[in-house]
Formats: sequence, C-alpha cells, structure tokens
Amino acid sequence: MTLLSICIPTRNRQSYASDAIRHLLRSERQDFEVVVADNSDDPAPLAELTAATGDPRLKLLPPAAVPLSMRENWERIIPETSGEWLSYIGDDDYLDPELCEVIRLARRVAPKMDCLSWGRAYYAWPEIRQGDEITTLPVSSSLATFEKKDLLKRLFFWEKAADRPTCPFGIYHGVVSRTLMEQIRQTFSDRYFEQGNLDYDNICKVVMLTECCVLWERPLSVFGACHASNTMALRDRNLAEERTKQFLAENPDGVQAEGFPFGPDLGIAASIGNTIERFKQKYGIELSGWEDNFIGACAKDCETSFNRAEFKSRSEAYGAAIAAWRGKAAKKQFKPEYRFRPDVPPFIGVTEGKLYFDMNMGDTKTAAEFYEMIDAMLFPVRLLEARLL
Amino acid sequence: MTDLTICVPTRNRQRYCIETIRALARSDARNFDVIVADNSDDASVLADFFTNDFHDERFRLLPPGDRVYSMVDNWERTMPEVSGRWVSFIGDDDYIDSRAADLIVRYEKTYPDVEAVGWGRMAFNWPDNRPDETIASIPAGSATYVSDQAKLQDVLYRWSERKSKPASGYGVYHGAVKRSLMDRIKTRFGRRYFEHPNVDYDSACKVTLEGKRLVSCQRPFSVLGACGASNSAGLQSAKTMTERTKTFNQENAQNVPVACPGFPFPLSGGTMSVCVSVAHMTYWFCKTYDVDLTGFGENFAVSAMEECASARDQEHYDFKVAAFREAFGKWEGGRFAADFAPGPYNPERVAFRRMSGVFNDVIYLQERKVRAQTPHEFYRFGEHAVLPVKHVLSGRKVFTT
Repeated sequence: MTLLSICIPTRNRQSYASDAIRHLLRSERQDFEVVVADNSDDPAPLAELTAATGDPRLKLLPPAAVPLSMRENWERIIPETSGEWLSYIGDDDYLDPELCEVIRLARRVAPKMDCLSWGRAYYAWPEIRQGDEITTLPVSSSLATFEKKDLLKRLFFWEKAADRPTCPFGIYHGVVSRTLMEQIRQTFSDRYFEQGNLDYDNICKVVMLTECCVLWERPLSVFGACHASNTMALRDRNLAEERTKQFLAENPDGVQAEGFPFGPDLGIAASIGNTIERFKQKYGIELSGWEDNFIGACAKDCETSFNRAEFKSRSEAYGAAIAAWRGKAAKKQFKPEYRFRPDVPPFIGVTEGKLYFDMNMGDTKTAAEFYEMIDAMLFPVRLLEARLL
Repeated sequence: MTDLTICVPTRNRQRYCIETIRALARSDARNFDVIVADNSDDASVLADFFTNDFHDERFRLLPPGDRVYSMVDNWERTMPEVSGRWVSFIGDDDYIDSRAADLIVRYEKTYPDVEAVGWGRMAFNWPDNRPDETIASIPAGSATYVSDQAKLQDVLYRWSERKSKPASGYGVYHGAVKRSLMDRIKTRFGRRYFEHPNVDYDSACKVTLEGKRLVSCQRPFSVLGACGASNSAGLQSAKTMTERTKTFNQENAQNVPVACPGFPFPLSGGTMSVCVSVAHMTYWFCKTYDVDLTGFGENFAVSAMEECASARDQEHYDFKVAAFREAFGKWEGGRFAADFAPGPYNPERVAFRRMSGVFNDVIYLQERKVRAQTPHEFYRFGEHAVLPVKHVLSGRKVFTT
C-alpha cells in the first residue's frame, strides 16, 4: 500500500512543477506517490512529462474545463490519492520522499500520531534574489510530541508568534493521516479545504481534532519562492495588491471575519488572522486573551518592511485597524519599530540554534537542488532509527 | 619582505600539487609568496610545469635533491628559502586562502607580540579517497581567541581533553608562525626547525612551548585535503594505513625514530592508529625536552579507550582492546593498566561517528552529495556558510539576523 501521497497543486508554472516531479521520481522508494493537480491554461507540458516518465508513482490530474480556484484545485486532489498519509507542497517547493521513513519511525515512538511536521528551510529561486540573500536552517534534529494545549496556545492565542502563528501542524509542508483528513471533512463542512488561507484553514482543524502531533526539527522540505509564488508578495507590495485581488476573487464568500477590521491586504498577520477568526466564528469558538499577542504579530509584520515609506504606511493602516477593533488603548500597545538596516551586514554562521548561510551556496538553481545540498549537511534520515530506538 | 610564505612540500603527487598551485595563484594579493619543495622521483613534471605552463613570480620551485628526502627533511630544507615574515606549510593536496596574510597583519596590530596564528580548517576528501560514506567539515565560527598557553600545553602534552588525539591549534601546518619564532625554535630544539617525523605535531609542540602569544580565529582559512595517495587517506582503510606507515617509517629511518623508546605501543597491529602515532610524538617531545608529563598516563588510557571505541565491529574492537591492554601492561610496569578499562563495544557510536549535521558550530557534510571536486572548490562552497573575511578583518561585531 502507498504510505505517502505527495500532492502538488499547480497553475501555469509548469517548469517549476516539472523540476520538482523529476527530482521526486529519482527516489528509489516505492511507498509513495506524487499526485499533481494541473490547473494550467496549457495542459500539454505536464501531460507530456507524465507520459515521458512512464512512472506509475506519478498521477496527473489534468486541468478542468475552466480554471479552478486554488481551493477547488486543492480539494479535488485527495479523492484521487491512495496514500495512508497526505502532504501538500507548492509547485516551486520540494519534499523529500524519505519522509516515508520518518513517518514509519515516528509512529513507533508515537503510535497515536496523526500529524507530523518538521523544521523549515526557505529558498528563493535565483530569478527573484536581490543580491546575496541569507537563509537559515535549524541545527537541531530532536523529535518531540506536542501537547494539544500548547498547539492551541500557539495557534489561537498567537503565543510565540512572529508575523504569523508558529504552529506548523498541517497538511502543507507537514503530513496528516488520511484518517484525520476524513475526520476533518466529516466534522466541519464536508470539505477538506474550506476558506481563506488554505494552509491555516487546515492547521485550525488539525489542531482541534488531532490526537498526537510530532515535530522533527530537521527540515524535510523546502519552501520555495519564485516570481509567481504567493510568497513573492511578501517582497513586493505592488504584487501583494495584485495577489490580494486574486485571493478575493477566488473566495466569493469573502475572506473578512466579522468584527475584525483587518483587510487581508494589510499583510500576512491580518490575512491569517482573518482565516483563524472566520474558523472560530463559524464553529462557535470564543476565546479571549489572545488580542495582545495578535497586536504583537501585527507589529512584527510591519517590521518586515524593506523601506521606511512602506513601513510607515503599513504601520498606519494596521494602527487604524487596531484602533477600530479594540480602541485607543489597544493601539497604544502597537509599537512597531523600523528594523531594516541595509548598512548592517547579515550574520553568517551558527547562532541561537540556526545556521545562517548565503543562499548561493552550492550554486543551486531549483528548490530540489537546494534540498539536495542542505540534505548533505543535515542529520541523516537513515540514523533516526538508531537515535530513537 | 613579504608578509607570508606558504610552503608546499610534495612528493610524487604532481597532479594534485599543480591543482593546488593553480588554486593559490588565483589570488591577486601580493603580500604572500609560495615555495614548492619537490621531493619527487621524477623532477621533470613540476619543472616543465614551472617552465612552460605557469609563470607567476610569487611562486618558486625547489627541485628534488640528489637523494630522496624524508618528509621532515624536505620540510627542513624549505625553511632557509623562506623570505616571508611569517611561514605556513600545507600539503600538496590542501588549500590555503592567501588572505591568511591579512589576518596575520590584522592580529599584529591588535597583539604586537603575537608569534603564532591559528585558524579553523575545513576538511575535504578528494573524490578518489571515498571508499565509503565520507564526511567533510566546515567550522562556521568566526570569533578570535587569545590562547591560554598553560591550558593549551595541558591539552597537547598531557592529553587533558582525553580525546583520541589532542588538538593542535598552533604550528606551521595549516597555521602561521612568525619567522623569528621559527629561528628560536631551531636554536632551542636540536638545531633544526623540524625534528620528529610527525612534523605537524612536532611544530605544534614547539610553538606551544616557545611562542610568546598565540592567537586563533575560528573562521577557516585553509582546507585539509586528503587525496587517495595522502597519508591521511590511511584513515579510510586499515590496509592502506599499514602500507603508508611502513613507507613512512622507511623514509624516516635517518630521523628521530617514529616510535619512541620506552613507550611500548606498537605502530602496527591493534594499536596502529593516529592516536598512538601522535602519542609517540608528544611523549618523545616531553621526555626529550623535560616537559612535565603528570597526568598523561591516566589521560592517555582514556584516549586509548576512545580510540578502541572507533572500531568498526566487535571483532575489531576486541583486537584493539587486547593490543592496548598488552601495551599498558608493559608500560612503566603496568602503572596505568588499571586506567585502561574499556566498556562493552557500542556499535551505535560507529554509526554516529560519520554523521552529517551541525555540532558545536561545525558543519559536517556527506561529501558524495557535494559537487566540489577539489579543496579549493570546497573552500569556495564552504565560504557561503562562514563570515566574510572582510568582516573578520574589520573586527565587526554587529550584524543583522
């Protein structure tokens, strides 16, 4: 039986998706499949690639008669999968099929595990880099289970949040058991993916229903960012507006939570905030005591700005939303600081549990090549068993 | 007078040596020069290269002599040719960043009495020296340390860290020593710059004892390469190590004996190891120059247990333990025999010994997954994960994360 289904929804970025597919199929493992949901205007490139590989582990869902929303393209994948475990990545990302081995071992340590996540690795494809860019890797490789109360705090109370909650337990760059995904569908809306930011929509539901979440701090995937990716909007405000329009158009039911005056165009904190609030409102979850942490995340979101004018306008917009939401007293707590210092060079080396290094290392051209490079300097998956047992 | 002379002794590995020369010549800096001391059977390869293919006034070739020199003698004959204020030696399959000269100048300004400079060293096996899964390493730190010499001497002479070999942070090999200190060393120790065949530790022992101030930088400035023909390649295979040890002993027959009298740990059989080879050197040095050895016996017993723990399987472990036990029984009437008390064999230690990951600020990599083909390429690769030289030289402390 297939242990793992790696799901790749894609639209009009065939060259990126093709590179990920080719690298995935180089694995000699036979216990995983790759299911690609093509939502492109031109179906030919991925159809030709699929025919050329002739690999039964690759399954291509061709484009529908009309382009689907991202939500619908994600939704149609799961019924076509056969894996016991399900993971989604973007078409400019990469995921190591050795995840199968990690699932097998983690289940021996935590038999009730229904969601597994791992450390984060980030890669900007060469065409979007502005000079030398530094990326990070966690240097730890501990494997640990999380208590549900901690997950709830991290997600719904924004505890320890950066510009977004630090709760990685979901199907996007994580892996969720089919059983749990079916439970999610049956419990909530008869859908796997419902609204807003689909990754956080899924995390909300996983956190509510999970029996056991496991985190391996060692990265097993790469978050890629190419010119056409949503992540790119974090670097370019003009692009952010364009992507927000598209996001709104694809969500006819709206994306704005009631009584939560943070437009999704404000930034990542606002956008995820809306997804979480809409989830809470729809399913009757009332919480208090999370607001201060959320305001802190809004400040951190502003602090990611690369120029002072943008920082000022975003701070004003967030500030106005906070004042409208919780009044002047709340706004007083909102104290973003402009942190971008182009005159101060970036650190390279190891500090505070992370390796900082130049993304040009190894001269990699794709997310998959980047993963191969970092895989050489990470704790070997093959030794996890000896460490655990 | 140039700041730094880089010496590259070589014997019968012309292909690697030429690669190393070309890599060093890529630098535009004018504050260093290079001496290639050729000890090869065929003098024509490097001579033709210097005559026909390579023209760089910073580089000089010392042709082979009328006899084959031992390694220590080939190093020794290089020193009188050194014109730099500082000197550094690397192997012909290694690499050094010539900006090490800038590091030295920088430290001289801050510490005018500095006489030895150490730095982090990357380690890389050439593609022809990877019989199985091999690991390369990149120290990722960048801090500067002024060494506590008393502690350093404890580590080097008395093996206080109890590892399978002591750290040798300073010396001419993949470090730099001031020329004036080298001359004092020659005056004090046997009227030679280098005496013991284990030349790198010979230099480390003397610099650590005689040097006034020793300063090191965590950032790597050189690569310890190991090609298929190198002595360190012996580490990858017991058979190769036996052959190399035999050749090494033959070549050094006229020098200080590799095996120190009164230290009954054979450089063959179950005790054959880098651990025992280095122990012979440091023990010889301490005995010859009356350096206190208090604690060495107990510490070396633990180091020997560490060495045994690296055995590839139970049979190999038993073989090594028996050999060490026999030697400890003979040494000083069995005085330290009780300190050698190895536990049961732990196969997991072996599995984790060659492990990639980041530990203690050092990046360990699975070499077969890295594209670099030479130490120079590996250095350029590794530099992406260490602080740029310009920031090390400027002493900058503030960075963004």
